[in-house]
Formats: sequence, C-alpha cells, structure tokens
Amino acid sequence: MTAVTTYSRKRRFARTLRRLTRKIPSLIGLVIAVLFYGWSLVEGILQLIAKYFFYPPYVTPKLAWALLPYDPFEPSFQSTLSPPSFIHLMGTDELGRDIFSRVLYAAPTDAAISIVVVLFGVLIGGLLGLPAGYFGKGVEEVNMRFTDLFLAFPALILALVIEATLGRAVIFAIVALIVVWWPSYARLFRGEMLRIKNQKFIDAALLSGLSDTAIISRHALRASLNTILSYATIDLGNVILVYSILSFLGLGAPPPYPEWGSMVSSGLGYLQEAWWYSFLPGAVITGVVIGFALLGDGIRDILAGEQ
Amino acid sequence: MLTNQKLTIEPTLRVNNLSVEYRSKGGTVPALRNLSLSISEGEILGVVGESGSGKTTLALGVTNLLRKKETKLSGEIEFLGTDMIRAKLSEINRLRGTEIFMIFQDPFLSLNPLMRVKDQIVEAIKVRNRRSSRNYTRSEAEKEAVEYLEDVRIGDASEVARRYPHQLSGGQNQRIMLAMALAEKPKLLIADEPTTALDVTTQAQVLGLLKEIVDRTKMSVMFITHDLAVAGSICDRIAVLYGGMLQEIGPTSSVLGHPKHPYTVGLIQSIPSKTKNQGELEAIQGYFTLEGIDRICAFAPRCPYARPACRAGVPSLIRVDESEVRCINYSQMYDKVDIDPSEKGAS
Amino acid sequence: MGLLGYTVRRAFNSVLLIVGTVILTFVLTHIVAPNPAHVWAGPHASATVIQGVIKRYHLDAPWYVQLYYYLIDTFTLDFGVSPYFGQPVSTLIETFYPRTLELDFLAMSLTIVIGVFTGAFAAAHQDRIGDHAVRGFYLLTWSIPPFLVAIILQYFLAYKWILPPGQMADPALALPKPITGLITVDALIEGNWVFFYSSLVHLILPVIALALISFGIITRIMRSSMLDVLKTDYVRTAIMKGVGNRRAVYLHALKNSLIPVITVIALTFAYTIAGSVVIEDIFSYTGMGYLITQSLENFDYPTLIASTIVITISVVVINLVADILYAIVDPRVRLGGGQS
Ligand SMILES: Nc1ncnc2c1ncn2[C@@H]1O[C@H](COP(=O)(O)OP(=O)(O)OP(=O)(O)O)[C@@H](O)[C@H]1O
Ligand SMILES: [Mg+2]
Repeated sequence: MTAVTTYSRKRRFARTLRRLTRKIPSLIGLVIAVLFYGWSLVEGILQLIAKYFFYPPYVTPKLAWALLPYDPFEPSFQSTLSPPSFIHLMGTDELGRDIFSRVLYAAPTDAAISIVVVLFGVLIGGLLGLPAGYFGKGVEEVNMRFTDLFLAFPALILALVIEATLGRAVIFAIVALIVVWWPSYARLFRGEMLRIKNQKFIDAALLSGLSDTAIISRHALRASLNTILSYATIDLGNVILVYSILSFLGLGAPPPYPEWGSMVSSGLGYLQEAWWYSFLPGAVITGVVIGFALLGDGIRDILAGEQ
Repeated sequence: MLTNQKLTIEPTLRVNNLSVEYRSKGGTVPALRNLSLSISEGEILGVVGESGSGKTTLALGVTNLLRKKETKLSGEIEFLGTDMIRAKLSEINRLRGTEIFMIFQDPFLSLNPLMRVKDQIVEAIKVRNRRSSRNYTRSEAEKEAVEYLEDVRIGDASEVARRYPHQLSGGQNQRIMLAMALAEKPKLLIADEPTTALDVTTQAQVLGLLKEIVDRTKMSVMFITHDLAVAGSICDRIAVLYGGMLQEIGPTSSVLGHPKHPYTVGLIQSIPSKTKNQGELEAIQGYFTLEGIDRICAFAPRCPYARPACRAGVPSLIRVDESEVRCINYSQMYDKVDIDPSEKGAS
Repeated sequence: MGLLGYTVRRAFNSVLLIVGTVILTFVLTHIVAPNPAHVWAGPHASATVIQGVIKRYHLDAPWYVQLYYYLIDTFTLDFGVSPYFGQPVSTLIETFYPRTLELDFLAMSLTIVIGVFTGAFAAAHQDRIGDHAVRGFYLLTWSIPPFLVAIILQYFLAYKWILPPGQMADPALALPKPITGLITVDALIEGNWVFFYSSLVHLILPVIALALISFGIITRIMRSSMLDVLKTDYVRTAIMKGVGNRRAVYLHALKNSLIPVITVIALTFAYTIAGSVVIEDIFSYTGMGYLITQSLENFDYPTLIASTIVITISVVVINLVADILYAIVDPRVRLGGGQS
C-alpha cells in the first residue's frame, strides 16, 4: 500500500515537473528556483564548513569563496566603483569589492531564511487554521481572533518592532518574519478546511470511525496541499523580498557581511556615479521573486487542472 | 402571388445546421451538431433533453451570448432577417430586449444583486421607450414597472419593487424576469428552464403565468426544459435533443402521442404519472457518452433497440408522419457513414 | 438589521481588535523583551536614566499593574518623551503622521483608480495582448522591492530629468502654519501658492513609487473578480435587456466587481504605509516613515512603539470604513438574509 502510494506520488511529482517545463513562464520560474537553491546549497555548505571546521591548511575561511570569482570581503582600492565589465560582472563597490561575488555569497542566507520562514508559517498556520475550520465554533472563534490580531498590523512594521525588541541579528529577523507570516497561512488552512469539510470523502472517513486528528492530519492536510503548495512557492519569494527590506533598513546581518538588501542601501550614497551598486543587487532580488511567482502560478495551474 | 406569400412566410427564428464546440484545456467538447429548427410567429417551441444535451448552448447561441474565445460556432442563425452570427454587435444589441429576450435557468443569479428590482425593470422600459422614441418621465416608468409586477401577480408590488433580488423568493425573482419580458414585449422569448429551480407549486404558477402572457402578447417562445410533461402542457411543437443533436421534432400531439425515437419513448416512460408508482418508473439505462458521437447514432450506446446498423453512421433526420426523427428504424439513411468498420466492434 | 446595526457591530469588533493589538504590543515590549528597561531606555542609557524609565513605565510592578498603566497611557495618547528627539512622542506623531497620510492617500487613490481601470481592462481583453501586458506589469511591480522602485524613479526621473529627488518641498521655503497638519492643504489654506506648488512637485515621485508598490493588489483582484462577474447571468440579463454592452460592462459588471476591491482597501493602506517607511527614507520625506527609521537607527523605542500602535489603529479604522462602504454598496450585507 505505502509502496504503491510513494510510487504514484513520485510519478505525480515527475509528471508535474514535466508539465512545468512546457510553458515558458513556469519554465523560467523553475530554472530560477533551481539555480537559486542549487547554488545556495553548494555555497551554503562551503560556508558552513569554512566556519565550523577551521582546519588549516585544508579548511580555512577562504574555502567559503573558493567558487566565487573574487574574495567578497577583500577591499581593492585600485578598482573602486568600477562599472560592470567582464572582469567584474556587476561592477565593484566603494571598497573595490566585486559585487557579483558578494551577491553570490549572500544567496544561501536568503535561501535558508525563505525556507525556514515558509515552513514555520505553514506549520503554525496549519496548527491553528485546520482545527479552526474543522471544529468551527469556539475553536474557530479563538484561533481566528488570535490570527486577526497579528493580521491587523502592517507586517513589515510588526517585524521591525519585534526585531527592535529582541535585538538585531539574522536569527531575530527570522523570528520576526515567522511571527508576521503564519497568520495568512492560518487563514488559508481554515478556508481550505471549510472547503474540504463539505466534500464526500471526509464524511466517509468520519463514518469509518477515524478520529478527528487522524482526519485532519491524514485527509484534510493532503487535500489542502495543492492550494498551499502554490501559495507557499510564491511566498518563498515574498519572504526574500521582505527580508531584503529588513536588511535594507539595517536589520539584517551586520556589515561587512554582504546581503542583497543592505547592498542596495549602501549603494544609495553612490547612486549618481555608480548606478550598478544599488541596481544590480536589487535586480537580483526582483529576479528571484519573479521566478518564484512564475513557478507558483505554474504549479497552481497544473494542480487546479488535476482536480 | 399573395397566396404564395402566406405559405412561404418567414419564420421568426430559423436555425440552420448550427454546430457549437466548447474549447477547453483538454481539447474541444462538441455541444451542438448540425442542428436545424425554426420558430414561427406566435409559436411555442419546446426544446427537451437531459442535462448536458446542449439546450442552454442553443439558447446562448441564438442570442449570440456564447463567448467567442471559448467556442467554435458554425451554421446559420437568422432572426427576423438578421444573421445573428455575423451581424455587427451593435446591430444585435439593437435586437436584444425589444425583439429577443431571454430568461435564465437560475432565478437567483439572473438579477443584478446590487440594484433594486424596480430599477432593473425600469431599465428595460427605458430601452423600449428609447427605441420607440416615446417620451416618458422617470416616475411614469416606475409606475409602469409596478404595473408589470402586478401583471405577473406579485402581491405588494410597489413594496417588492423597492427590494433587492436577494430579499425575494425564487418564484418572485422569476416573475420579475417575466415582468421584464412584459416590459420589453419581445417577438421571441427564450426561456431556459425557467421553472426548474422552483418547487412544484410555484412551478405550476409561473408556468400558467407564462402561458397567459404568451397568449396575450402573441410572442414566440423557445421553451427549454428537461421535463417532457411540462413541455407537453404548454408547447405547440417539441424538439427533442440528445448529445447535441436534434433527435425528433414535431407537433406536441405527435411527439407525445406517437413518439418515434427510442429516446423520446424513454423520456415519456420516465414521466411520473398517477397511474404508475414511483417504483415502476422506467429510467433510461446508462449514461451519455461522447464516445463515437461523431460517427454513430448518439443514442445507440443506451438504446434498448440498438442494432449494428445504428453504428454504421450518423442517421439522417427524416420525415415520418407529422414528425421528423433521426433513427434508422424508420429509414436506413445516414448523414455520414462510418468509414472505419473495424472500430464498430470496439465501441 | 440595517446599516446602523451593522456599523455598530463592526465598530465594536474594531474596538476589541484595537485593544487586542495594544495588549499584543504590551506582551512584546514588557514580557517577551529580554530586558524591558534596556529596550525602553536604549542600549547606551546610563543607570539613572534606566531608573527613570523603570519608574516611568512601572517596570518593577507586577505585569497586570504594568498593563494597566500601559493601557491608560496608550488610550490617553501619552506615549512618553522620545529619548532621541527630546519631545513628547505624541507631538512627534502629530507632526509627522499627517504628512504620511497625505502621501499615502494620494498614492492609494492613484492605485485604486489605475488598478480598477487596468484590472477591468485586462479582464475585458482576457488572454489578449493587453491582458498579458497588464499581468506582466503587475508581476513586476509585485516582485520588485519597494526601495528599488524608489531608486529607479529617483535615478531616471530626478537625476536624469527635472523632478526633485527628495524632501517635502523646496527647503528654502518656510513651512506653512500647521492647521490640518497636511502640509499641502495648509499651504493652500494659507494661500501660499509657491509652497503649495513646490510640495506638489515633491510629492510626485514618492506618490508614484508608493502607488506602484500596491498596484498589483488592486489590479489582480479587480481582474479576477471582473472575469467572474462577466460570466454571470445577471450581466447576460442586462445585455439581453438591450442596454448595450458598455452599460452592461461598465455599470452592471464593474459595480459588482468592485465589491472584492473594497475588501482589500485596508490591506492596500497597510501595504502603502509599510512601503512609505522605505520610500520616505529614500526620498528624505520627513513623515512617519522618517520617524520610524530614525527611531530604529537611534534606538528610540517609545517612538517606535507609539508609531506602530497609531498606524495599526489607523489600519483597523480604515478596515472598518471599508466594511461600512462594503455594506453601503452591497445590499446583501446591509440587509442580510441573502440566499447566496
Ligand atoms: N463553458 C463551457 N465550457 C466547456 N464545456 C461546456 C461549457 N458549457 C457547457 N459545456 C458542455 O456542453 C454540453 C452542453 O451543455 P449545456 O449547458 O448546453 O447543457 P444543458 O442541456 O443546458 O444542460 P442542463 O440541463 O444541465 O442545463 C455539456 O456537455 C457541457 O459539459
Ligand atoms: Mg442548461
């Protein structure tokens, strides 16, 4: 039984993937997502090894930029603010550091943050939203009122306050993002649950004597996954977008550690003479966010067609 | 010459070889195929068929409401001398309302939820007045609207006029649609299952009202229903649709009294009546299938009298007594012969 | 039930929600915060200052006493004195908030008008080139970080062209006397045409930037609701009545499609106001966004918290207004008892 379901699930995944490559927008999205996470995985592992397994001469901090064109931290005063060229694809900043290398170096942080925030968002949102939709009445009232409290704040501003309270660090930025992110999933899960509750197979499950938790976790969760999956895919990009704003406002990793948002912000002072400094990291953010939006839309179209 | 003219008088609506396909993601779905029929002045034509047989598609096609992007349409539709398929939109819009009007299947969905009933009827009155260049004031139009509401026997008409559609019952909403028809006095009224969404008593009332209005105004009606008994009670002629094709058409007495097509026979047998108990009701076996529909008799897969000859091609519509019927039991004539006999056994 | 009953019920809910959000900020700042006194006083505060802060916010008392004073302070709009600006926080907000509201309301009006129009246009031209163009554009504006929008506008329209790159008005001009707090309006009241013109010109870029940020919300929802409505029988009934396609689309269909748009007005407002934190920073527009970024940079916690509370209350209030508007437009909500 399980072998069969894993098999068919695998096949379904493969089929969905194949259909994603058929339309140009979703293909673009898929390529961007794969490049982004693929690169982040490789680079992230290197950074982790370099940081935690210091073991000269084989493992030194240099390992973290072994794959990059340049050392992202090393100033080079001969080539400050040089425009994009084949030597420096995205130009250099005011200290002569290669912007392309810094952009690549920063990718794993964004990749990790996007996944962690969306995962926790789905988890917490599911824990509150699914029971709310399933049981209704008091549970729904309590859970959704609680959710509405968080939704009343403009997300970015709540995140700012949380980070200002807890302290400025990437980890607190993640906490802040999770806090502002789960409420929309609670709403989504509740809505899905309400929709699913009216369908036949839940009645059948009830009749067969399954417990409430079993029904929610086994049947409803799986049935709502279609909607959640495309939504979460788009959200991966949105998390990166909002994190870049936090980082732009100085609430991300402290300098000299490169980050997409903070690079745009430090380039602001040189906007007139070095447009690339702000524009290109900003364009990278935009590209990644667009990629996830296209991919999410593609997934939605395919899964909606299957229902 | 004069006598001749009387014989060749143009029908109000003439549909010739109409085919409609819906485009969807997986390909195209044929909804109507080679359908021809006509409605003459003052005539009530019933269009009967089960769900999915293409009744609504026919109505939307005739009124040019099918979404161009989603459908492929061929054939001819002539309404009062206007080519409803190829005419300019502005020209068709001039016919809509005062010449042709349509009542939709679900009364709860057919009125604008944000407008008071009164305003929606007044809109119709305005259209008619504008076209006949009649001067009127707003309050006159409103008074007239209330009169129409009274005509369709809505109690408290002036009170109801001020309400919104969601505050009214399904029967009331459908009466309001009838009041609109009264306001426009179209030459042709298309009623798409106007009573299906209503309970039996309301159904009978609305039906009676429709008949009365038609008698009074002499409008032609295309009355769509899936209920042969209902069609029998008010129609002059009946057209039976199955799988998007006309299977039988003829005067009501002929179609109901001497049904020719096995599908019509099946429909009549499934009419509940006082003499039969529910348990004895004979439903038509099986389900509609699209398989082979463009090659063989559409009804063959479900037909109790099906023979190999039924799968030899698409039978032609031929005249038998007063009716026309599409069944090889009456004459082995085919519109289209199935060229690939190897497939016959398979389907 | 009626509009009044509905409004009262909604207003009551909104008040509850506001109290809830204020309590939530209390939990965050007094209970979750690792060291509330330090947070409130700022990281570089001296011991005496910290003592003062503990006394001021009753941080040594049990939590319910703290909550009591917190609620009293908040609802009497007494947010204390800003350690960075050295002024009462409520005075700061009184000065800065109207400027941001001016900016945001202009941006929102622009977004709504453009969004409704382009959304309806895209729906009417579904899957044709116009539709693709609109959808591509909102995908772009949706995905682009707000600061990048601002920078692009600043670079191309200000540095490369003639519009002023920042500030609220020509700095050489004296601010008009604050009457409403909305500086363009004040300039108008004063008859100060020079300042009025200057502030309008300075508003252009930030307003466009903000409008672009929230453009996608409205367009998207308008397009999909219009697509749904165009398929309904009541639009077909209108067409069949012979009112003409224009009236059927732009009266019957448009009005019905606006209903979902109304429900996202508050969301658009929240989005715009969050966006103005970044936008004002880039355009050196001294409004609420400036206040927030300044307080963030200078660890001015009271100002940050007060700004958050005031903004959140505004969002809740706008939500209430939108709900009432919704009821005014849709009789099914106002009068109840709908079958759908
Ligand atoms: N918008 C559409 N897109 C694709 N297929 C459609 C569409 N509308 C109708 N069809 C298909 O066309 C066929 C005819 O549909 P139609 O609505 O005309 O049937 P009907 O006789 O009015 O049925 P009912 O009694 O249920 O109203 C059906 O097979 C239906 O599935
Ligand atoms: Mg129908």
